[in-house]
Amino acid sequence: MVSDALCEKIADALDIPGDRIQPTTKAEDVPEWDSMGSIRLLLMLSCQFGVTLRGNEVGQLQSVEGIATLVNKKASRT
Amino acid sequence: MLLGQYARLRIMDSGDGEYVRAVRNSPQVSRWLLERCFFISDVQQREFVDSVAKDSKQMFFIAEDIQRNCPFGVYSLKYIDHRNQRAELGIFLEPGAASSGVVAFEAAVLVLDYGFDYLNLHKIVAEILAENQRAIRLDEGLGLRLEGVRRRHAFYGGSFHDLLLYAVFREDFRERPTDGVRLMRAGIAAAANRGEPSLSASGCGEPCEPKT
Repeated sequence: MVSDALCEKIADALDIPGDRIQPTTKAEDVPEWDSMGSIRLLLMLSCQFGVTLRGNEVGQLQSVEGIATLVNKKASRT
Repeated sequence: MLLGQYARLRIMDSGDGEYVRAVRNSPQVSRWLLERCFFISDVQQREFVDSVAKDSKQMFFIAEDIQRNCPFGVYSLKYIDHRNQRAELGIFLEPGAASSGVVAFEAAVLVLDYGFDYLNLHKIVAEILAENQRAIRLDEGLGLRLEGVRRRHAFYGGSFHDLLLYAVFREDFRERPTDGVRLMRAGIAAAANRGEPSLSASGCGEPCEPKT
């Protein structure tokens, strides 16, 4: 389940209008979701959710669904 | 080998020629290359790899995604000038090959750290075509700053285009890193603390076949 609030935070991190991020959006759909965009998302996850990525989780940063999974996993641990 | 949390880089050797050629010849990459905007032959590529191996003023790295165990691009420090302690950063990425843009960013941090900490460079520069927005965002995210513009300097696609000159100084990269660089360094340090040295002399096994 992907919340509207998370979509909004992702759009903010990528510095794009909120309506360009939907629960099904993937990095390849958004030109701004490139290397630098991914770093901005990682910073957002670290600052706002306390999420840090291990090597095998980095691929999940490529979709809204994957990011939601990371956030939910972190929430269930705390 | 340069080793991070998500990426590792090893020195390009003769076995990498075909991979490098495939990446450089891909339309998404070759359109942004200043030196060659035409296809590179097998013979040219072999000569290039051999010349780099003998040239102390150039270092080319094959970047690999640790998770996927596959190469995703080529990073370089070119025109290494030991007297003036400077070099030029080069990056070309195989589209879609890394599991995330974070992997490519971390690899760039590793190369810049190597340039400043091991080659003792004082300044690393980059030349970027003004239309290459992804490269501009990446370099600015790494902390490189615009130093100037060469107007109508590069010919491609039937017309002349502006070339942007970017640079970062050692003290800025070390002491005033961007948030992204700081985050990557923390991950690299964490990987090192788990017993994975960030620099070693060994290679890292057989690369995967390049995607076509």
